Amino acid sequence: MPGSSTRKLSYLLLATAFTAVGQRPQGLADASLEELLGIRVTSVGRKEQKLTETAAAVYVLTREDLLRSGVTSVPEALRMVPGVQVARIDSNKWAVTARGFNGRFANKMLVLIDGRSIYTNLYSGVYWEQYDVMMEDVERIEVVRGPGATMWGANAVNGVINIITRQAKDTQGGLLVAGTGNEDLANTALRYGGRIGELVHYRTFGKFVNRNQMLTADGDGAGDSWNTMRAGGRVDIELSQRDSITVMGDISSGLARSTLYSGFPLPQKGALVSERVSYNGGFGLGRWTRKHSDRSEFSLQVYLNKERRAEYFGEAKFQTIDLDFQHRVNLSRRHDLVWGLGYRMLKDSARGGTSAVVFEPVCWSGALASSFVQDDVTLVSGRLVATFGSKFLDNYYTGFEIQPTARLMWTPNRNQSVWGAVSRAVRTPARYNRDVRVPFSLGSVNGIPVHGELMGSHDFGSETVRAYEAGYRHQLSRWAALDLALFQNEYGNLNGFVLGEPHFSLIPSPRVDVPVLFANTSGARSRGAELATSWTPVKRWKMQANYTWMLLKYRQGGFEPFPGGNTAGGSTPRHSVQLHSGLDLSKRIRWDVQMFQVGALPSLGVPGYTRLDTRLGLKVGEGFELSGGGRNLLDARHLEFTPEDSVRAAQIRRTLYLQLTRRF
Amino acid sequence: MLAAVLWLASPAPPLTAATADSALEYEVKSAMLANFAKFVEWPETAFASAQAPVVIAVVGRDPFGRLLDDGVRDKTAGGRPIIVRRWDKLPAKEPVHMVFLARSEGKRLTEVLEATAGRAALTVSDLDGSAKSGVMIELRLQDQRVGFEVNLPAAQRAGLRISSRLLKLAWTPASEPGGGVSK
Repeated sequence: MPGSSTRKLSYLLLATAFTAVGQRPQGLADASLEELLGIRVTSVGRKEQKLTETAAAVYVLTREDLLRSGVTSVPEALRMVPGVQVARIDSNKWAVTARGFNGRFANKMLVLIDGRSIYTNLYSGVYWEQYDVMMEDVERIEVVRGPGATMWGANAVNGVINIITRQAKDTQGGLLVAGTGNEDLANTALRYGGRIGELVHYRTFGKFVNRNQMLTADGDGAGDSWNTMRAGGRVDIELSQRDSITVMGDISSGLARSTLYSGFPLPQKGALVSERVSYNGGFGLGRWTRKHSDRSEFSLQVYLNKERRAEYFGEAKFQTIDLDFQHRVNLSRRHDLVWGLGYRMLKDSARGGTSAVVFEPVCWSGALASSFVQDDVTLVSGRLVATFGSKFLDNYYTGFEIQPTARLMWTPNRNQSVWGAVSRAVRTPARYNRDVRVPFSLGSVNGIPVHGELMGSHDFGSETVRAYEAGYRHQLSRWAALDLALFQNEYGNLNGFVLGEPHFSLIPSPRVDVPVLFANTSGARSRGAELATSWTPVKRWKMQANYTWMLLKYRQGGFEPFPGGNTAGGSTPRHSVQLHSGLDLSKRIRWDVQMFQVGALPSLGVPGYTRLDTRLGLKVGEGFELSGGGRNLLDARHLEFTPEDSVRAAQIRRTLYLQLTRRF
Repeated sequence: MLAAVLWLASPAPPLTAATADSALEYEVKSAMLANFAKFVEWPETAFASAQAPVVIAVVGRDPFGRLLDDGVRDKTAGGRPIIVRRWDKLPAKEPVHMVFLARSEGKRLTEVLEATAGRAALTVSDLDGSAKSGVMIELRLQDQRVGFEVNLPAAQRAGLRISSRLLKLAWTPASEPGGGVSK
């Protein structure tokens, strides 16, 4: 029947065209078999796991969540994740963590983009402003709260954030984004994806964002505007049924302003310095994946990263080369084994700037080798699974580190699961902890000036955590679910200070020099509960309510040279609540509302606040969407954080925006 | 189990199922199940009355959630409404016309097939090689699309008539999915 096969072909083309521009065909329930056969569903392996089958506190922000919320940066998106604390410091800086120790340089969360670590080794933590990713390319953001060190390595002490971008075949066709508002004055992006033959897909993109200043307490501009540009691309090649290759890369540059209090590390409130941070960089990544069968596959990845950052404190250059191999093999019905090897070479230089902060030595290079192995052991089929694993790390500073985990998951029936885990993880020293030198004044004694010098110490070792976790998931009905995670973390060898040997000198004039050294003197214990619930009363209305409670007791050891001391004990709210509502008013109109209630941060002097964000999305025509909304609607401005360095926190303002998205 | 967490970290595309990819896969599969009901003729004795519904049973860990319920709502097959029921173990007495064997039932495949023998129930599964093991329709991923293979002798033994239109769209065990036409 030639007629019917022609029709079939057009159905196939239609279905493929739909998915090619990354849109899910509407109303699959009404699709014909022919249409269904043409829809691309997945390219990942068959060994897929449901969230409910994971013995860890995992949450996934989907592409749908990201698009519906209208967020234009990754940290703002992370506000939606239960148990993750996000506080904006100013227009271009954020403090992001889970389970405590929040800060601009929150050093206990490991952050990856497509398997590439963006955790900085110089200061520890993440410069979020340097990673202004193309939000439309993000497939999902996976967040694991609790130690993920067994698989990811060091610094995944409190959690892992993994940003995964879409495959090139999912971003075919053109995309134009143009938005404006009083936060993102201009938010523009252009992308085009195509293919060469059946087996090679590519995309290329460019984006530019110009962000407005936030406000000071008096309502003036906070001097923290931000421009950022990025261009890049990705090519996916299917070499054969079992081999595939991905190559991607981008280049970026930006200018982020902020206002500093002068006098680091003892900020003098009132004496302000205008800072201008300029940064640029690029990366290239190649990955080869081979799938032998459903039971065995491996991947080999290499990436190169190069960045430069110039700021008030000086200029830093970074270079990373990273090699990674992983192999998963299903040994038998009982054992599912994953193992891997990694090698990373780091090189940086940190030259002092206007301030007195210097690094000694200025140039540094180091390498770290790691391996890991993990076995999922099925004890009772479909009911009880145990997991054992460890990461072995040989690093430039502290030598050999072991980060083991043991997990158990019990699934009494298909709607419920209970899990528990015990893990150890480490935060390896940043170069800052070892090599920094900052002179400052400690006043005078009997007319003789006393000079302090904050110094990195070569005795500074890894911070450790022993984490105990438990969780419970219950699919109450097809419309309601809850996910509860409990944790107790015991931290040891946390960053503190000790006084070195004072040194008297008489020439040229009498003075006393007192070294203040980084040392592993402190400890902490944290406890918390994270509850995530979802309810879908009707198909087109989805609601979520999340609640997080946590308490962190910090034990200060050694010497505290700075007023206010360490703020870790109060850098995370005790209570926080997130409410989301996503309603499809019609097939073309989507309305989302999100409310965040965040408790006070007593040790930072930040009062609690409630913020309300909303977005209305309107499909105007084929591939054409108009959206608008507001963020932080409840007050004109509020403070969310005061950082641990000398950056002056800005007040986060109420913002409104409009955006146009065109697919072609 | 923890392979999921593990592969979150892997440089390769992670293998979690809580993803849009996998959700779409099961959305397609659930829509296919609802479609199959239209292309199968059950013997009259399979139904208690002329108005009795076509019952789809999901056995094992349900991968569809409400997708399947939404997919069959307001649908009919041969004038009959379609309903979905879920069981860990197929009860002997209840009427059942289509049985979906979830991946969790890999080890119990033979046991479930024995329970359906002589019941005029269309068996469907997305377990690898299930068609060879006696399941009537195996859903498979190939070339990033969902397709299916039909074990016609198994269906005929159960007294079911499968429409030639369905057979035309099926993959033969050795065929490539491209044309969708079995030779």
